[in-house]
Amino acid sequence: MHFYIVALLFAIAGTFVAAGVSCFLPGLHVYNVMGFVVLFYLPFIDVVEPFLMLMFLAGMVTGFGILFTISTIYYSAPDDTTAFYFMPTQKYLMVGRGHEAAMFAGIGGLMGLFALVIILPFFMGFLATLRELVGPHIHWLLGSIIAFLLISEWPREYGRSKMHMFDLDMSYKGDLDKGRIPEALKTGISEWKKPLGRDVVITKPRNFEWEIGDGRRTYIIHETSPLKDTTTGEFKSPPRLMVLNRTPKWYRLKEAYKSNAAGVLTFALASWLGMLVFFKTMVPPDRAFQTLMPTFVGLFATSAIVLAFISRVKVPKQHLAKCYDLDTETIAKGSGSGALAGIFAAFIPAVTPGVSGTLGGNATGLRDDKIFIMNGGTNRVVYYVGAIALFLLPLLHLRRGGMAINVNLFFVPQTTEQFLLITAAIAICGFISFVMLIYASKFVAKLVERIQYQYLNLIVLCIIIAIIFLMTSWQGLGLMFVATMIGLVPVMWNSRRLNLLAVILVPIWLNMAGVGPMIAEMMGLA
Amino acid sequence: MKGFTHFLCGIAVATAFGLAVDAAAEHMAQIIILGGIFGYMPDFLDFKVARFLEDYDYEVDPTLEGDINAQRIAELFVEAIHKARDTGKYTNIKFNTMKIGADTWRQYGIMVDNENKRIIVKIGPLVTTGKSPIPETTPPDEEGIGVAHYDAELEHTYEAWTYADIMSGPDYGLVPQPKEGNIRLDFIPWHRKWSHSLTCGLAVAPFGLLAYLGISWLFAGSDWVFNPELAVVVFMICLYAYWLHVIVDQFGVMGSNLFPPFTKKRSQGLSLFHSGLSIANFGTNWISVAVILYNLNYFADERVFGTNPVKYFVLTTIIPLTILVLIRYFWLKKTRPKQEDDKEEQKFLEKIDEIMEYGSGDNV
Repeated sequence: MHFYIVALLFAIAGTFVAAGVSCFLPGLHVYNVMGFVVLFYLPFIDVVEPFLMLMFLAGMVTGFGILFTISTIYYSAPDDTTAFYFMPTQKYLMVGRGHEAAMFAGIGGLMGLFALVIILPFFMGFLATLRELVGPHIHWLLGSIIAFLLISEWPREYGRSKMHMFDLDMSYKGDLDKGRIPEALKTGISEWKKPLGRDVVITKPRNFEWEIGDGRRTYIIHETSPLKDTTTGEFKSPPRLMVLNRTPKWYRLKEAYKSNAAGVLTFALASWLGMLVFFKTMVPPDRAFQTLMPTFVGLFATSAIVLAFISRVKVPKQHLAKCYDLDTETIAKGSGSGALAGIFAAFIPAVTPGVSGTLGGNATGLRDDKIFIMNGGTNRVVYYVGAIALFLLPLLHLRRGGMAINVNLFFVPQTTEQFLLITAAIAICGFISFVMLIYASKFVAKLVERIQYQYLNLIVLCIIIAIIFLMTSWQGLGLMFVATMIGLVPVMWNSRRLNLLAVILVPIWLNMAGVGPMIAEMMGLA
Repeated sequence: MKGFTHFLCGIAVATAFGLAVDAAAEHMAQIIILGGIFGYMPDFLDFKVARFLEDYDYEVDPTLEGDINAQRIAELFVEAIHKARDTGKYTNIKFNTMKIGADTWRQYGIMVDNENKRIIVKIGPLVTTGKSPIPETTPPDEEGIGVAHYDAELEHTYEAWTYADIMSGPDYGLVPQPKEGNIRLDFIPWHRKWSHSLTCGLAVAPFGLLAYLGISWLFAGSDWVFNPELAVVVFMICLYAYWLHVIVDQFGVMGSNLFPPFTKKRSQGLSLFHSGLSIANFGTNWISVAVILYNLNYFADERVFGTNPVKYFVLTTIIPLTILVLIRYFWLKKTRPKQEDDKEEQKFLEKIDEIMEYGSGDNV
């Protein structure tokens, strides 16, 4: 058989493996699967030509890029790259449009593959120049990204300026209207705060509100609105007199920043975990190459599963649409911004699609769930598949992240022909993956309807725990448990999940800035 | 402009200082980051600090009441308008959001129907923090709509719904204008009041210098030596990045108060676009990246490409952006009917865009 055909068959086989893992072993990260495949391959390196193995991995990565959206949407098991569009896809799932969300991400992925196969080769000279230029500056680039992530999180509470102290009986309303201060009000205030002074004045600056003060302190008595049932005419909620205290400004800031504090805590804990994993071998030494696996699975997948499990989510009947409401403009905006974000992530170390997608969304000012999901689909495909394409791209041969660690063990890129063959394989595998996505998504959409979602989550959790134990022993399970607890902080306190990516950003930034070992020593890790 | 756009502009400013680029390349210095932080700072001060320090004459707080009454909210707004009319004093009103659960909020909309002199309030559905409505949670119209009529001349031309749904809600300032004989309705009046000014930049920039000195001392320990030249550069980076934010915002509709406390009012912007416009943000970011790359090359020990600025910016910036603008122009001409937005409407849109910056992945 012709070598090209054999190579393409290897790539297609990789795609089928990715499909199986994405649909039946949710939560696994592509680079961890890749690590195991390479581990099994190395003894057979003389039997199977390295380039064929690379084709297999290229097919696998392409399949993962397109099909992993199944795990994210239907099993609530995102990874670090799909966590970016996890929330909008969950919204779609909860209104019975999970399949539609999967298709948007899939179409985004196809557009990403198109960009890689057709457009990327024209930019090899530019990318080589860019690498040479920004190489010495990656450390502050990462620092800038971290700074932006930290300062750009919005306070999610509204900083209330009044605080409820106690209720006053409605019978006192007449006294208030006549300008008399009921004794019950004075007593109530003195039980909560310091008693009012002698010169107490009562005013009515607004309808339904009185203010009582002694010149130093002011309290508000607010009459709540009575709500009537329109059919019976009866009060649904009778009016009350609420005694309110005007909150000081620092209190409003404190209240507003509760979720941000959770965000900073998440960032700090994830950074600590990252430093721990980078500077200490937490799993058995022979599995050291899988150290990040339990960490990522814990931070992103198991935490989401645990939340879905305890929140007793009921997945509604899924509508399997035959056509999708997508216009050219949405596709162009979603995939354009996603492709830029993906290539940025593929190019800059430690930047994953979650981070680059956020930056890309901010940079282009795009705001729409469909664009967001498409952007995510394009972004992760360009990131994963782009890592292989950039590795083989003549003039560049960029070695980045988990892909480079695995592939460097057995393969050195040499010819332009190899690059062209890989791009052909990526295009073919992308098409096959997309077709598989259509059917796999429909199949799993029916599955989540039939099997109670809680059971499904439990099954997924058991599968993940078993895999982690098999791959990294009980130490890995411990690491996953800690990571899960940290992963739950943002979901429980409604802060930004993206802060979890500090697990990789911070240690790499500190190392590149030359202070990593020093800080590890300060933390007692080295 | 979006926060990220200002951040990137600040980075571009920082890379214009050869000493900063050199320190970054040779000594792993992180000074350039300060440019980004101070480029973002004016919006940080407004949206993340000032808005929570504002005191309100009138405040709608459904969370506190535990219930929501559309008619009462409409009447309260009218009461505030009448108070401003009768007292001739500035009056403000805040519409707090109603939080139902950890990720659930009750949406309500407010519309100033100036033509018919009425305030309309409509209770909407429950929404998630991502603003996704939860099906079948909108109350029936007889319970969910409130209308109250006002008797005053309002200067407000944007007749569309403003929503209070997630996080902090919208607020209005009612400014009596005796000369014009009306009341101006200012949306989020605390925005660009003092933070988006050149004087505030001067006041804030020294904090950047202090941060730099503190952190460098922390890491250098006993080896720390004060470098006056670098200190001046750090101060300049913080100041110019902050100022550039103020200047870039002048291209929008809203403008800002440039020299408080010496000036009191917001000056009008150049009205070239409103700040949330995708292409404006993308274009500005493109220019910033081009400037950053030019500067990194210019100050590198061994330059990677030629440094003719005219040739460089024509090739990397002017040609691509012109093509992009032309594509957008012809695309819009083909797909959308011509819209004549008036300036007030644009100004309102700009404010809505800025207050709604949350999104685009921020909720991840």
